[in-house]
Amino acid sequence: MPTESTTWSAAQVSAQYRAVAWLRWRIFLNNFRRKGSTGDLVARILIIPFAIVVIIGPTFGAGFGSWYFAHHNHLEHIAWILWAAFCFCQFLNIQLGQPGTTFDPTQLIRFPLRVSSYVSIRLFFGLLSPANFAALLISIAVAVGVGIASSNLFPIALLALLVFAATNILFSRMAFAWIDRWLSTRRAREIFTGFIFIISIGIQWLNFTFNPAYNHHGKGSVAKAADAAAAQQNLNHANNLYHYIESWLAPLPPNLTANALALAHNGRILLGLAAIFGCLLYAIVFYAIFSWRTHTEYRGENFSDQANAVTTTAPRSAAHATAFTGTLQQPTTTAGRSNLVSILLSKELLLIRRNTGLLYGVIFPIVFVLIFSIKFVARTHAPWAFPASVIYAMMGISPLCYNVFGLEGTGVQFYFMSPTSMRDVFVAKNIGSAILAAIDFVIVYGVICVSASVPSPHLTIASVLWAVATVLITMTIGNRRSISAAKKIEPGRSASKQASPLSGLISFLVLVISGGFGALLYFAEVWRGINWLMIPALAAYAIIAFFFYRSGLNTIDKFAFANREQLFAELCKQ
Amino acid sequence: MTPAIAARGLTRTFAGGFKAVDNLDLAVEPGQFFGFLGPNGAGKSTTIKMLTGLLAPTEGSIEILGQDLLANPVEVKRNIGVVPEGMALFGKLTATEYLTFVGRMYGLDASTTKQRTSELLEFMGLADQQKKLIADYSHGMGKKLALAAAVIHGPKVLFLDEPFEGVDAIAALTLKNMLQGMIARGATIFLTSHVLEIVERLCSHIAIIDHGHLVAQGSLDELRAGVQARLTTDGESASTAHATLTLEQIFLNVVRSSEGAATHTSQELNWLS
Repeated sequence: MPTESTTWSAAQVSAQYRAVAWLRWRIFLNNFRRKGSTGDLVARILIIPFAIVVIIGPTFGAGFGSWYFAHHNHLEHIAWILWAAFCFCQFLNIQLGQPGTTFDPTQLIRFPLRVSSYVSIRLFFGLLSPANFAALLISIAVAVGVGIASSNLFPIALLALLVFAATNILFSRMAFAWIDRWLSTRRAREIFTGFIFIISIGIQWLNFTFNPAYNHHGKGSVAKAADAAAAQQNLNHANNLYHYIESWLAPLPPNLTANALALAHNGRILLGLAAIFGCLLYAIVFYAIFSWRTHTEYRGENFSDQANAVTTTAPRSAAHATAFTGTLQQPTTTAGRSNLVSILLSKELLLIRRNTGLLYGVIFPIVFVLIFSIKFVARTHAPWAFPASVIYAMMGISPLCYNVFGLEGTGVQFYFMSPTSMRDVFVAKNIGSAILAAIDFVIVYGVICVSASVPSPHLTIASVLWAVATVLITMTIGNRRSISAAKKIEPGRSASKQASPLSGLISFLVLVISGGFGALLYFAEVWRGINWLMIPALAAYAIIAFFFYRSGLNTIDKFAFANREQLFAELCKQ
Repeated sequence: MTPAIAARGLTRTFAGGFKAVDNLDLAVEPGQFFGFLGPNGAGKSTTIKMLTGLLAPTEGSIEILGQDLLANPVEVKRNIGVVPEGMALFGKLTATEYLTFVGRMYGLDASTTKQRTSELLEFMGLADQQKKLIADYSHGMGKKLALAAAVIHGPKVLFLDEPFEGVDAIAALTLKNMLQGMIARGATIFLTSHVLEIVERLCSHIAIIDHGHLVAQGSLDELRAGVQARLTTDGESASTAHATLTLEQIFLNVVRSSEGAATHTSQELNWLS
């Protein structure tokens, strides 16, 4: 069978680009054809205002800050804004992930693509991320801020900031291309998770230490003076630190860009352009490293743990065969329900132990509570700190309940093949989640006791009842969503999401509504003096939640059976 | 004559030093229907991935139709079609959309792509399912679509990793006829399958890999003669040695010889009813 053409024309190369762009578009459109996808679309639309606030706020802030520095002839201080923008974009990349997960672009290497086309496509597929969008907007805002303060600087500011945006974006693309490479092994994933964990804690600590909102000394002129002195002291510390490390930061893109503006402002245009060129060199180096990584992908590289984990098959020995026989001699079909649940629970606990990402989700809110209580609650002794901390800690557990099969992949079919009811499967999974919630609750209690004061028995009982009710409601809805809107989690991909967008939104809303109910009761007690209301109301809430949960469990087998194809389609896909 | 597929010293080492494929030499002549066999984990899929550019060899060279795969990957990929182990389908596309995409990626113009897409869907019996998302296809339908995608550009060399797995008997017959037609028109096919009857019926030449090493290679008659000679030497009964050996017998003999008889004791699972 002969091939159609003998030369690979430029038109065919451009047809390949169009084909990949069209593929992306069709995959996006076809996403809405599947059951449940409309809900995800709605969730995405609802999330947009929050995303806009997250991106627009810093954009306006950067624009205003750059205007302020330019107006006061301190253009070199724009480097601070650019460092903040750089860190913010990397933070967004980590929190929101890179796009392009509709399919794995490395699948394209089987086609006759030129390596340059492949590199371009890999770059293109990662460009439309919220972080990159933020990087571009913030950079433009800085240029506009400078332009408003000094209109003759606008052209060079725009050039410098566009180069900076490109550098920032290419750094992210480069870094994440390598991170995905490193994340191909479980050990590397654990190290990376630990790294992110430490960075996140560091950011929270800085926030509580230096944010004036958490460092009030009270009302009155003396307190205000103390606040101002503390703020000035923090600013001085930051300034000293900055000056200390400035010589190391000077040759890096944010400082080069800011220096370019300062030099241009002083009439040294050529030196300013040289600084911009220096920044451009970084962009080129980042692109080259990204390109190096994608070249390796193009040549064929196996990312999977499975391939790396293959070992030579040992001959099956008689001893092994005996042990195998021994295990199966206890037929599971005769095991009682509690025995089945305990077997399933053992497996859940094994998975939890080996899932660093999950543990991170559980531990992170606790650490936040710890910092919060040390920095803030210890000083104010606010009685609502304990229930508020419990609500916050729940944020780590709650999303996990909405995609309980996410990590199990094709293994989920086992539950439908084995003599196990889905009710038992969910009970085991829910007990696992409840254990995590209980551990979180106890630790939060301990943290508040040590760092602030022991919560009153009244408030402790109320918090326990609230947590029980909320966990039960979360599990009831989460169990359904785990079947109807499962999301395959790929631990080796940094862009892999933990749950469907709609599930994430529902998880958040459940906490907000349930937390709002608890807060309403609390303030009714504090402000209106209705002391008898909170515990009975929350007890009733927990009882209703329990019946709600039980009713959900009683019909979960039927629901799972009716929706199993949808579940398999998502989790068993290649 | 330049081999259609030539691999020399092909080696793939994974993390931890495990060699999935070790110093493999392979030569497949143009027009051959070549069967590549081996037990599970022997290195078949790793070899196919390396031969098709999906996996980089740690050592060794690969030439397809005289072109060095590592030096000219684009030229090589233009002339080959692949049905990989995992089928590599895009679940969120329909069959028509997928074949259109693949055709365009292989440089076919829009009208040729459209015509071939239509013909292939009809041929594979997927015409009435063309608007369904691939994610909703059965495994067998997915295999047929993966095969359609592998041939849409008229490849000269076709690599098939378990192409008949999950395909119904009627479709399998259609596919076999199509593949034999390709061979008759001069194409080369490299096939791995665990269904030895199919390999025996289709393939003129066979190679057997075990633990990453090539342990046998030749035409079916050459392999049969080799095994018969070994059986005679080992003192097997004349009737066994001289009976016409099936591919299954040849395969088992070669693999057992390679691994050593001790690894294949006939264990009995007495607890099974």
